[in-house]
Amino acid sequence: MDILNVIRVFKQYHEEGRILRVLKDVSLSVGHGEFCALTGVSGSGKTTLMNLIGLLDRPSDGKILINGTDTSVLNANATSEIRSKTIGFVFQSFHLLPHYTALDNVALPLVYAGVGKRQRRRRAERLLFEVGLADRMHHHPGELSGGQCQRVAIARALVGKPSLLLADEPTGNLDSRAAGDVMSMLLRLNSALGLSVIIVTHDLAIAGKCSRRIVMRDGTVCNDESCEYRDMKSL
Amino acid sequence: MSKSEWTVGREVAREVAGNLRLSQGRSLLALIGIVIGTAAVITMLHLGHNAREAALRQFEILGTDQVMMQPVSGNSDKPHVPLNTVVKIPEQNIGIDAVAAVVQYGTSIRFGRSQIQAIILAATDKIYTIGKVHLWQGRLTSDLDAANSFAVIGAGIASEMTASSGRPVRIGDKINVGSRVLTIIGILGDATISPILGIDFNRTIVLPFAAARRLLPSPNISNVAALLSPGADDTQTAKAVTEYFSRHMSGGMMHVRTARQLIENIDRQMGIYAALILGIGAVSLVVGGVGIMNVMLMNVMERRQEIGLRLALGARRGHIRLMFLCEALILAIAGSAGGTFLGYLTGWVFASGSGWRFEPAPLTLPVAVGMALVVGLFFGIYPAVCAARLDPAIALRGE
Ligand SMILES: Nc1ncnc2c1ncn2[C@@H]1O[C@H](COP(=O)(O)OP(=O)(O)OP(=O)(O)O)[C@@H](O)[C@H]1O
Ligand SMILES: [Mg+2]
Repeated sequence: MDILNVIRVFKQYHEEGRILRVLKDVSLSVGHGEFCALTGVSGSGKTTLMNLIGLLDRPSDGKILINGTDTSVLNANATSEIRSKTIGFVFQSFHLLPHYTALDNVALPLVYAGVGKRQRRRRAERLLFEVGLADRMHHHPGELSGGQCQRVAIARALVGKPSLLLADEPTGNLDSRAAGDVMSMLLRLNSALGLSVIIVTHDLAIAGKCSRRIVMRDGTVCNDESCEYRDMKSL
Repeated sequence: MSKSEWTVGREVAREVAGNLRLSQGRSLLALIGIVIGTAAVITMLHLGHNAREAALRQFEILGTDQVMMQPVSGNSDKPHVPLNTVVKIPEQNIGIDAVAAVVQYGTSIRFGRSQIQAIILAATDKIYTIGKVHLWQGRLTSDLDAANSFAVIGAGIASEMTASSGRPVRIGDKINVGSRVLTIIGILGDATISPILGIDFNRTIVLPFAAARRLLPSPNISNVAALLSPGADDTQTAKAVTEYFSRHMSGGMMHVRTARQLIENIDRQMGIYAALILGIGAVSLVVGGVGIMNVMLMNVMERRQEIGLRLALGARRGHIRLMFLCEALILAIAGSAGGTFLGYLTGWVFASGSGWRFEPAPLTLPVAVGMALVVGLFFGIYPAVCAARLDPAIALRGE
């Protein structure tokens, strides 16, 4: 069973009486442990598709299956639960809460999983350690570099032990070195935890490190290629 | 709600409480409304309570069996109450044990070279029993003194005379009232003002009733003080007394004042007071609540991305609602706590300024807590619902 099945999904927005068709008949499947890059020109519908996959929005037509569960029939609380248990998000602009320490930011998703405070902190500490920020635990995001912020955000995305990580341009705000760091961290987590990853990127170097590249154009998937060979030297 | 849902709700609420930043200037400003509102209500509650307690304490000292009868004029006639009508009241068996006819007026007296303000009270014997005053020195006036110019002076007058003359007042000392000279035959002990009789014996000079003629050209009975018989029904007695006088006096009628009426009056005033407090409370609730709603709405607008993020991290819409409701509640509770403290303080200041003993009104805590909850819930629910309705995809996209 795949972690994700997108089946003939359409998404349209109504704007000033006009219908804006953003996704037109998108279908794709992602297996457990796959690492996919999602690329395409600006406005081709990548973020829209990621929002649908992340259950932050609903398709106008078509189905999205997470771990085989048809999410189109689920109510809002049930989709929240899937987000909490199965999906992790990483954003281009980090979306860390500025008044929380790195530790509290990482622990935040566990609040909604009903984990008690002490346990939350323990798990957050472990993840911060894993992303190499054990010494920045009690710093606020304002005191961290962009690359460090994104690593905190990755720790936050992983603290709930998801099986699908959705990263929308996670390196978009980083320089190439920090971007490389974040990318190699994601690859390491992917192989260590068997985590499925979908990463939206405009950076061909980043996309080149992914085992599968999905290209979107004008609301459709125009290219979807897997290469078993990964250029290890570029890592 | 299942147990695990309850756990999540609890964690959400705890997380809010742990991370709330009340130090934000805006939140503090919003609190001013509810602080002042709560403080006003708590102060008023304390004032009302302590005023009532102070009034009732006098009854505790003097008992509730005093009765004051006051002639009120009918049309343009002057009411006239004959003395023998008054004297015969106890014989009527209408619930009155003792009566004292009183001629009362304020004047200034001369003692040596100093002028002293005093109340002249020419009264029949029983006035001392009815007024529950005790003698400190000398003897009391009696009806047997007839029109002799004997005087019993109150403790306050005595100490004022002592202060002005530089020596203690002695029995036999003379005081001048107009052209008349009175001889002091007794000095009263310190007395409590009776709320029913309304006589301050400390500032009073008591003469035999008949001596009034020496001071006033045509003395008229200005009041009749009386004591209820033990076990008498005060309402019925009052009615009987009025009825009795309507047959025996001319030019008006007799108004009868009993302890029960006074207490009923106090309670009626407290009722008006309570309505006032309710009004102030309602207005301040609205003012304070709107302040909180305003701040919460601004918070929601400012924190759209945070809301979107939390939804993405697995929060339910209910959790977002709960989060903002908790914040509103905490604001309201903080404001109400501050207001309660302030209200206690002003209540205490007022009470000690009025010479009352300060005693916290029993309703203050429930009222304060209730106000906080009502404000927080009522005015917090709308911003919370707005927050929970946000579309996470749009909230996360927008910068
Ligand atoms: N809520 C919305 N209402 C109306 N139109 C929208 C909405 N969200 C997205 N769109 C439109 O859908 C199209 C696709 O947007 P989307 O954000 O998915 O593109 P993208 O591929 O992520 O682009 P970029 O690479 O610049 O991030 C755009 O034309 C955008 O204007
Ligand atoms: Mg995008």
